[in-house]
Amino acid sequence: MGGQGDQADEELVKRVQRGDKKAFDILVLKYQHKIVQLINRYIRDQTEALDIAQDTFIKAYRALPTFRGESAFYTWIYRIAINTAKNHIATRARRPSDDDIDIETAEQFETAVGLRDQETPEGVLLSEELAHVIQRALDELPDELRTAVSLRELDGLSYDEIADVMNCPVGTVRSRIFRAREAIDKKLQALLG
Amino acid sequence: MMDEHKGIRQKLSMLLDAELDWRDNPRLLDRLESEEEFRAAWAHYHLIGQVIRSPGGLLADADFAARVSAMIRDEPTVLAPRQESRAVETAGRHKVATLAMAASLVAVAVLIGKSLTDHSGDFYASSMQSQVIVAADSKSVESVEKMAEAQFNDYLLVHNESAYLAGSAGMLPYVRLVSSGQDR
Repeated sequence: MGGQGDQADEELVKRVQRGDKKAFDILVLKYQHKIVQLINRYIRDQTEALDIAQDTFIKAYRALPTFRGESAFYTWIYRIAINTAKNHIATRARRPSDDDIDIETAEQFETAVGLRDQETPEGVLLSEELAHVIQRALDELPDELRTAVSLRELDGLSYDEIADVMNCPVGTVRSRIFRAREAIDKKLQALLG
Repeated sequence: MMDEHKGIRQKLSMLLDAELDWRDNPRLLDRLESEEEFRAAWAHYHLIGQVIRSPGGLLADADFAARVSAMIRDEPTVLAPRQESRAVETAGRHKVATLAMAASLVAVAVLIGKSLTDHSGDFYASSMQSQVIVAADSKSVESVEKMAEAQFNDYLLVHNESAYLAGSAGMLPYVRLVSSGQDR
């Protein structure tokens, strides 16, 4: 079943390679949180981690013409993310202390990190609030919906396996997972406006 | 309309879980790309999954994807070379190389055949020459080489036995060299 997810990625990558930038947006929406969390394992500073994640997607976009699909897109972009994080750590280690930095270098650094001023603490606070809302909405779900979506997201079971566990038809599993997501999404939309 | 949109969101939910083959729903990705409602659903479903899997983990902020998208818009459009044309080009190169090899072999065979004809008679050389040409045409370069070598060696051995009697020494130095090489 995982193959179908890869096939959708493959198609989106092909579309980007044919010049369709919107297809790349769909990949960003899919992998943004995973990439941010991966980078956050290397770079503890949250604002920096978000900057590096942004940099990762831009590098991936630029490198896409050379992507031949020999590995899955997500393993490829994970590699880019890890390399970008490690390079950032190495660069930071070589950087002189703030006391010694001259104006020119400071300007270059600002450009390199990029868009730092857009990463407000409010953004990070909102993320925490989003997580809180989702968790609360999940707890409020009827049992059968919470179980279905948890078996899928936490345990990674396929619909067939969930149907076996919950002793119900696959169509019911499909519907329960969807309804769970819709119910949580409603709460998200209320927060995001 | 409402039901149709709900149906599409349900398909996106399945696509996210790798429980739907997008090829069975060819318009699904188009609509995902172009309609904000579906992009938002796609983003939110992924966010929900991520929070369930790692509740305390750092999340991309709400504007993250929009910022990346804005930066991508400023980037030159990436275009990968088309796979098909690359494959055709490679295949073409292989074909030319094979034909060139076959042609070279035919030329060598003709020269050898001609040389044999000059030295020992028409029949044997012309039969070998025609066999070589037929084989080269069918592009089995390796088998042609082996066949030509075997026939040539056979011929040289026979020739070696009779050459002294006939008083001809035209190919003898070469015959001795080949025989010596095979014995080693």
